[in-house]
Amino acid sequence: MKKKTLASTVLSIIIVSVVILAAGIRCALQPESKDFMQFKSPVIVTDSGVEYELEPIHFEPIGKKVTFDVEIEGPDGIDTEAAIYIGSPESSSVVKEKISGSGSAKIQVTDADGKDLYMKFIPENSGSLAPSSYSLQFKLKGTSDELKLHSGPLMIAALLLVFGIYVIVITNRSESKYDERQLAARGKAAMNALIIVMMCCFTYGCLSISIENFPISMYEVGIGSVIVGSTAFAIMCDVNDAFFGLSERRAKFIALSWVMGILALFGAGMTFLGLGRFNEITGTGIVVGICFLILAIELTVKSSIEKKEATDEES
Amino acid sequence: MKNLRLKAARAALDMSQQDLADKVGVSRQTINAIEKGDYNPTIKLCLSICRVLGKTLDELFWEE
Repeated sequence: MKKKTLASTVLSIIIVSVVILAAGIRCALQPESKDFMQFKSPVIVTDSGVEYELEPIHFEPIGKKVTFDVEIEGPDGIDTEAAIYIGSPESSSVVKEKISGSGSAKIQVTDADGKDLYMKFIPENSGSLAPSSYSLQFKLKGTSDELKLHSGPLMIAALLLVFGIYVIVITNRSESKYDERQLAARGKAAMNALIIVMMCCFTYGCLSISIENFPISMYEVGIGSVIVGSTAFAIMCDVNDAFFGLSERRAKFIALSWVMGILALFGAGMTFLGLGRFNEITGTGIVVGICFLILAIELTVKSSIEKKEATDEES
Repeated sequence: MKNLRLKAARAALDMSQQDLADKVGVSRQTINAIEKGDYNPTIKLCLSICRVLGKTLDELFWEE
């Protein structure tokens, strides 16, 4: 291994290790996702009972096990029942706790993953309070056992891990993988692909300025542009016989492209039909699927042309 | 312009494009492109081809 290659490989490994370590420490320091809310509500005690305006609170928790820490400050004599309902606040409660006057309780739901949770507070007069208006103060803290999917450090670690692996692969690649004609063709293709990416972004910019509430997000356009640009690069390289190196096997990559294209479209289709989980990636999934299928078709056609050319040359 | 002299020199040694490409260290398509006149090789590649085919630069690449 060359000195330069070795240095860049070691540097990449160090960077990736540091980021993963930092992410791990960050996660260890904050192992759970937390939400906190606080509110006041009037309670009127009458001769016939208690009148209150407490609407059910809706939660969409992340994680299987969810724990609510409920703290209530109120006059002695009011017993408040905190109950959890799954699916609908009209269903029967799955768990409930009673807090007398001022106090706190822990309410745990062990099977909350992906379900709608509702919390209802039902105050009652234990009999010792005179009819009047009182105030209850609620403090509510929810804790789940799973990190949020968009947890920043993990995402950054994952991105840098991919980047680190890419750097290691690129720097370890043999310099004679492509010949001089292929390198020149790849350079031209890269320049053209960059222009395509810039045109995609420019078109999006024009459309988003001129059309109010343009339905495609910048996130989707960013990823889509890179995918379209990469596909264009691959196709331009392959048309000029510069996509595969001197000792690379075409068949493996063609098969991979077909599988990737079909899987991406299948995933996008599932999401489109409401069977998937991440609605926002439907558009990106379709773009990825179409791009991979176009690439797979081009590679397959070019492969057969190449085989024919090689046979003709031999005869 | 097609490089028929290169093609003839290669054929004289009973070498295919792939054989020559392997010995020179380029792809078959690059040899094909040089023979068809679609690609102008660098002097480094010209010298490698000349060495493999036992010819001089003038014999293979000089245009008269």
